[in-house]
Amino acid sequence: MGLKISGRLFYGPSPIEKVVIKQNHQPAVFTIVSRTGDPWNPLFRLIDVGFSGSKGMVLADHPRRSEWEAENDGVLQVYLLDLKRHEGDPATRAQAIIDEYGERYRPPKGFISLAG
Amino acid sequence: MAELKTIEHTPEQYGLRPEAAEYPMMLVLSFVYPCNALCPHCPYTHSNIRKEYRDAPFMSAAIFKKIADESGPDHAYLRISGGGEPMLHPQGTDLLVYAKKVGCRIGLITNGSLFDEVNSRALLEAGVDMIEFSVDACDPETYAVVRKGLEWDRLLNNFRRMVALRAQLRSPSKIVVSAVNQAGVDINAVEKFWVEGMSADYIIKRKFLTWGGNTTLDTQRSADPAPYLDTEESPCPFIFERLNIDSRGTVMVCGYDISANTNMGNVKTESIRDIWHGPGFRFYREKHLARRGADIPLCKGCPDWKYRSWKHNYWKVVAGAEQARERKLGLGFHDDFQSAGET
Repeated sequence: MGLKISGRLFYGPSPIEKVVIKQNHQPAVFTIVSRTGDPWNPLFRLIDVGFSGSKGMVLADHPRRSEWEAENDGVLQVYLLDLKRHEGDPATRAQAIIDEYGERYRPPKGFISLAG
Repeated sequence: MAELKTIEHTPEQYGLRPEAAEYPMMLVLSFVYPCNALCPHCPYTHSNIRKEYRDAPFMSAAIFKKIADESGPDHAYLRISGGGEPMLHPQGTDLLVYAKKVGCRIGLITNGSLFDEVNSRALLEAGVDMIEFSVDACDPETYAVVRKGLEWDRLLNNFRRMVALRAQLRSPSKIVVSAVNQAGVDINAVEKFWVEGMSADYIIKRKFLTWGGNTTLDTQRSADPAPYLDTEESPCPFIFERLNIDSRGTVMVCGYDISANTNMGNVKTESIRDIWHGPGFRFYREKHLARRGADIPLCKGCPDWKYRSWKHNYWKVVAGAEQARERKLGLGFHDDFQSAGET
């Protein structure tokens, strides 16, 4: 279910095949997460983070998909964070989040703390 | 000067409560996810959870009845809570009456806005054990803020009707109120208004909780952040007495995991007794009893563990509210059959 990553509340999880963001949807930051561990004590590893773009996206067609599959050692899940257009340029805000997560989690190796 | 009473929060010995040795004492059900209010302290209003449960906004009758059928023989408490307003469930009253018939005890947590003569009477006649009105205020101005979307006059009318019907029917139901101790709320005035003025059997004063990684709630809203437990010394009490079930039948480890990131099993395919004694709960209990609860990522991130008490808890509320009910209805101690097993 929902996952707070570095203070931001993402929703999900969804399988990659089901994530389609249309042009009239809110643009979103997507995170690719590998869930491992026992069902009662899950661990979440951030494999990748990216932006849907303002024209939408079919995640299953993403050029890095094969890399995600190769890195996955559990269940591959997608969590999304909508970026409302009225709160500022989505592309700029998405890039700031991607940069922050890249530094903090060093995907594909970084574990996400359930402390949020 | 009156002597200050110290509230005890820890027991002499930790472990499964004797009443939960075989079966959980309490099953907290996310019976409904939609709500007709937008409360500033609500974890569901401040999270993505309702969006994630759009496919299962209400617990199905089949799942609920399976839980009730398994819980009835142990007279376990079903806490009808979590997610939204329980009385929005299209079959809500009928299902609660069913659960009483098969032996469950019921604690209904509601904002009280949807009660009418018919459903109030049905719940009281069935002997729903505890009807908890989440009031959070004692005046219309505060109520409009902390119970946004609801009407103060309607609350008062529905509460008064419930109390009057209880007396008329001599129902065993306890009628209590609850309030979250948050900024802008005078919790003592709320207690005085409802317990002395409106004849509530008891008030549950709740700590303001944030549910940490599940929500965007801010601790700054708390009016009483003093902890109950030292989490390095005391295991969390919840895993030794209760479990949580969502509308899909998934069992979560506790009420902190409202996002259902843990999966202890599913009541559709497993017995609750097996889940309660299964590897998931064993794992949590062993870690906590070894004072290594914080090794578990979920528990390490739980900001609410310190606000859980082994003694100042729901069972204390049940006993206190029952004494008040008996006094008000002029009953002798355990003068009616339904309350005889409760203390």
